[in-house]
Amino acid sequence: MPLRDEILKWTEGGHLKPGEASRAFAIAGVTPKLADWRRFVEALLLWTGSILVAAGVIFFFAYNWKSLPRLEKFGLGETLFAVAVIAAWRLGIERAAGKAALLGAALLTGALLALLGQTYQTGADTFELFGYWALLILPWVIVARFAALWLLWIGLLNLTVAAYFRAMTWGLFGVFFGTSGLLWALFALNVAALAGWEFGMWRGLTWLNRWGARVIGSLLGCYATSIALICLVDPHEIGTGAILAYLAWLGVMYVYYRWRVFDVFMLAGTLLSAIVVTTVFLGKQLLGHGDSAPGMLLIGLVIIAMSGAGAWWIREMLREQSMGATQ
Amino acid sequence: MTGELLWKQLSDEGLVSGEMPAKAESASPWPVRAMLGVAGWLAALFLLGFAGTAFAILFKSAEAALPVGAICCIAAFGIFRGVPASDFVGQFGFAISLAGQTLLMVGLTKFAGDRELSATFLAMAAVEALLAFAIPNYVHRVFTTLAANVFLLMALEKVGFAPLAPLIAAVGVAAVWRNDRMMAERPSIWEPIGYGFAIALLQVDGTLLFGDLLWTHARPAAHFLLWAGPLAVGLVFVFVVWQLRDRAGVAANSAGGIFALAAAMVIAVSGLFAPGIVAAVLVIVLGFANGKRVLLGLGLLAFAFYLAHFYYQLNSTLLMKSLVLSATGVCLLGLRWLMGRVMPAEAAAEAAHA
Repeated sequence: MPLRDEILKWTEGGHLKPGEASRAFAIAGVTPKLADWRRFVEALLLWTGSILVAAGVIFFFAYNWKSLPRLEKFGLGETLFAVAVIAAWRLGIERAAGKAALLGAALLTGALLALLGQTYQTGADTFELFGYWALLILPWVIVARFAALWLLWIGLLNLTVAAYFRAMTWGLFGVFFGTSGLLWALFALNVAALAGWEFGMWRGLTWLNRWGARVIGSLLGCYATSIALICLVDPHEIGTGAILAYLAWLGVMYVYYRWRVFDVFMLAGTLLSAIVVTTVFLGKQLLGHGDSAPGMLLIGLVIIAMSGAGAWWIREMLREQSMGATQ
Repeated sequence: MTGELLWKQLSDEGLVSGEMPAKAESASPWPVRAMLGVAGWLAALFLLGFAGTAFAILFKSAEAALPVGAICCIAAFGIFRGVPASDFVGQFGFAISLAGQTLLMVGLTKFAGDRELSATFLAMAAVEALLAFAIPNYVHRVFTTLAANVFLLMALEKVGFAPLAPLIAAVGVAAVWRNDRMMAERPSIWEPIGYGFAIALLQVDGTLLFGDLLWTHARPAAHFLLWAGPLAVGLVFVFVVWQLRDRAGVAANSAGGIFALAAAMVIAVSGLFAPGIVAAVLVIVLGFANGKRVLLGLGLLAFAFYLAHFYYQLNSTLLMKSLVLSATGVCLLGLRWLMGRVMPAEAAAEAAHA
């Protein structure tokens, strides 16, 4: 239990006067010190400032200001882009300010590509914009050793795939690879991304962090759950093999995040997915055949039982884990 | 530092005495609580479906819905008081309470008939606030605090005072997370209520959960309120920064104090045009001050969500939005640059006390 929570337990239990909590926090070192505040304020100003400026530039180009001539628009965009790249180069990508500048340059790359398409009406599809954007910033992503930039890149790949399938939902391609094809592609992409991220962490790439894996894991969970739900509702749409893929995903998530890297976030998310899929399965079996009331009551109680048991199970795992750590 | 070592140090300081109390069972981690919250809602929907199918009258008359809703809430109170530690029973109580709250809402709406719903929403806000204090369950307290704020917003929308709802949420967030003594007296009450207020602020002022959905039926507010509401939230933010500066021991007239105030004012001014920025940064700052990484993460998530939503909001042009974001960003980056020049890191501590 974090020390702060421990102190609060003591105050609530009457072992420590509530008025002394602040002093106890200071003794425990859980109150930020001046140097911590300094680092925090610097980071807050740097990251919020950089993101707001980049967002402002993107909004500006999206406005498509008619009275601003084409040359000025490109001049402005390219100047800002050059400033960001030069700042990243001069500050160095090992420093936070250099990383922020590089992230800004990566975002501005997309803004410039959009401006190019908007000005010259290139006829390019949206997936091409995202695809080229991802391709162009790939060298920076590789050399920067910066988790946020990798997440941006993986996000762009997701958008590319989604836009590609949306653009191709006509003709024979649409018939064979419609919604199910999109979900399978996104599922496969994010399996690869999560596996790569975990592999990197396993190989000791300290600049990758667990929260990045959780972001990708959340996306993957949404796609895996969608595949299972479509399979349950309309097996012809996606094929009955989808449920096997889903079960395999459940198994891998449990084994990896229980035994290899203990991660409560991933386990709780996987459990929630299993509850949702079970609910839909039971709904399909029990509802819509005459009187629905008993089925609804049963499903409600099953959800309560599953989530209650799941919470107890995760807490038991947590207890085992903490006992193992202290031995 | 371990708990045992901390207890010894506090004992040496004379803050505690005797043996360290036995370690209480750790609370569930937040992902488990979030999972329980979502599953509780899902279960409540099916229980409501059961009640609505088996006893259709419940959804047709106020006379049936109101007493059954109240009984459900009282039953949930009894369940949580009677068996506070059981995950199964707690989850059952949560679902029963949610079903009860929905029935109360249905009953009050039926009771109001064709009349204006502001009183109905205000009554529901009061019910949710009462439940937040009465029912001793973490997830339930987070949810009911959020629900109370949302109902309050809906009530204020009906009378043209919607811009004041974010102020109430912001004051709630600041009051709970800034006051160590209050938190220390009853953390099991105030911490979940603090999270509920934070999520509410990030929704009503920052579009975190439902986007702009809650604002679509608002009666137009008086023009001065459109400015006064965000301005008041900005002042709450500046006040919080001022107090945290004081708590960190940074003198008001020192370089550090002036930078903190300047940055707070830049963000507060941006809130007049883009209120979600102030809401998110307020939660981020309070999350850091309290060592609550979940609160901090919530603020960061809301910041990203808000920027995405801000793009599509129709209250001003993209050019205006672009100017607001760029100007705020440039000011913040400028302050950061100046901070590095005027207060090099090693001199910061001395400068703060100058």
